[in-house]
Amino acid sequence: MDETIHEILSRHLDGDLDADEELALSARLEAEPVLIEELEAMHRIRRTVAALAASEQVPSELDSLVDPLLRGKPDSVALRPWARWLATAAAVVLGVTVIMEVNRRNPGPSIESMAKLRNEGHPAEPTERFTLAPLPTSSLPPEQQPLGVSDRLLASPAPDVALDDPPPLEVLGPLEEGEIPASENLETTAIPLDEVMAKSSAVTRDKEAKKGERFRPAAPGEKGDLDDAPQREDTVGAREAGRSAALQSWEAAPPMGRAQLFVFINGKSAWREFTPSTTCKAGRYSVRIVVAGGTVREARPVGGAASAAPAQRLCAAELVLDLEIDGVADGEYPAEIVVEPRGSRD
Amino acid sequence: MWQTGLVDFDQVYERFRLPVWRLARRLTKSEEEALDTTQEIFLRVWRGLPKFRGEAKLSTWVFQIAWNYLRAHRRKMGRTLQIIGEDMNGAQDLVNSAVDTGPDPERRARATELLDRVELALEMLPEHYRVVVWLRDGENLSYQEIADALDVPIGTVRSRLARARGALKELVES
Repeated sequence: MDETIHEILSRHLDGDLDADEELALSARLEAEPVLIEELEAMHRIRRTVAALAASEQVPSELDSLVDPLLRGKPDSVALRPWARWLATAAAVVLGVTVIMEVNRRNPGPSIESMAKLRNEGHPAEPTERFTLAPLPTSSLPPEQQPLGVSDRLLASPAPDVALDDPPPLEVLGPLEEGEIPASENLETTAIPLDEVMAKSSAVTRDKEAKKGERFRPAAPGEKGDLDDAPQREDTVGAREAGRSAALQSWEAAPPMGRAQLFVFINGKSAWREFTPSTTCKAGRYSVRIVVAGGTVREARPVGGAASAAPAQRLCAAELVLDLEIDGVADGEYPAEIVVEPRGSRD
Repeated sequence: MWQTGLVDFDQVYERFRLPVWRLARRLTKSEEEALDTTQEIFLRVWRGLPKFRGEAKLSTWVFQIAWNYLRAHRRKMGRTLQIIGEDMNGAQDLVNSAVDTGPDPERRARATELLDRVELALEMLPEHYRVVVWLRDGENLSYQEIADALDVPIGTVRSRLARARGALKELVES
C-alpha cells in the first residue's frame, strides 16, 4: 500500500479531508475493499491509543515534587537526579564517618577489663560442650579439587549492574583563562567529595548573606556607571592591565576573603561584593543569563575551550543566580562576569 | 495561589499534570525518569509563565516546553534519537527498523490484549513518530497544535502521523 493512501486514510480518521477528498476516498473505498480493512484497523488502533491515555494515572509522588512550585518556592524543589546521586555519595561518606567516630569514642573493652573478666570468669559462660564435625578431606590436591558453589560464585565474573550516572556537565568555559594554573583544571584533577560539599555550603551561605546586600547598578560616576560606556571601557582596560596582580593577591588571600563580582549585561554593568567559596577563582567568564522579574533566574557558562576547568565556570555562573538586577527587561542575555579579589581594581 | 503572570501556575499544573506526565512516561524509559522529567518540565513552566502573553495556546506552549525538555534530556542522557528520514519509502521500513531494535519477541507473543500490543508497539516507534501519535490520539491535539508544539510544518505532522499509524498497525499485527 502506497504512502499517499495511508496519509489520506489517516487524515480521514481525523476529519482533515475536504469535501472533494472525502468523495474521492469514498469512491476508492468502494472499489478497493482492502482499504476498508486498513481503515478499520487504523481506527481500532487509534481508539486503543486514546484508551491507553485515559487509563494513565499520575503518581501521587509528582504532587509532592511540584509542591514547592505551587507555593512559589522553586528553590525548595527536591533534588534532581544528579544531585540525588551526589547526595547518596555524601550520605555514604557521612555514614562511614559516623561509624568511625563511634568506634573511636567506644573502642571496646580495655585490656585491663578483659583481664579482669578472665580472672573472675564469665557469668554466662556455657557449660555444655559441642563436638565439631571433622572437616571434609580430599585425596586430591586443592588445585585439582572440583569447585563448590561458593567457589563457582567467586570464580564467575561480577554481574553487570546498571547504575545511573550523573548527566555530563554541559559547560563550555570562560573567555579567558590563560592565567588559571593547569593544576586547577578539574578535568585532570579529581575534587574530593568534601570539597564539593563545602563549595555547595559556601554558595548557600553566600546566598543567605546576599539577601541583605542586593545587587545594584552602579551609581553615576561610580566605576561601572550604567550610562558611561567610555568609563566602562577604561574599567575593562584597567582590569586587563591589573589582571596578573589581581590573581596573585587572590591566590595569596585567605580562602574565605571578600571578593568583587562585576557583571556586564545588555550594555549595562553592575557589581557587588561577596564571600567566595574556596573553589571560585578570579577570572572573566562568559555566561548567558535569564532575567525574569528583575532577578537572575538562570546563568550558564558559554563559549571558551571545552577543555577549560568546568567547576570554575559553574562557580562563576552560580554567583549571579537569584540576584536582583534593576533596569534590565525580562529575557535571556549574553553577559560577562568578572570575579576579582576585593581591592584589586582600586 | 501562586500568581506569576497571565495564568496561575496552580491552574496550569492542575490542567496539564496528567498530559505532561503521560507524555513524559511515553518518551522516557522508566516511571522514575518520567517523574524527574515531569518535575523539570513544570519548573520550566513556572519560570516561563511570567513571559507567557497568550500569543500561543496554553496547551501548545506547555507541550512545546515538554517536548523541548524531553528531547534535550534524551540527548543529555546519551540516548540517540531514532530518527528515520522523511524520504523513507513507506511504513514498512519503519516497522522493520523498530522490530530490529524492539523488545523481546517472546514478550510481544505473550501480549494478547490489544492494549498491551499497542502500548508495546508505541514503545518501539521512533520518538518523532511516537510523540505525534500520542499528541493526536492520546491528547487529542489538532494538527496545527502539534505542529506548533513540535515546531515542524503541518505537512510534516500529517505525513509522520500517517507513517506512525501504519507502523503501529503493522507492529500490532506482527
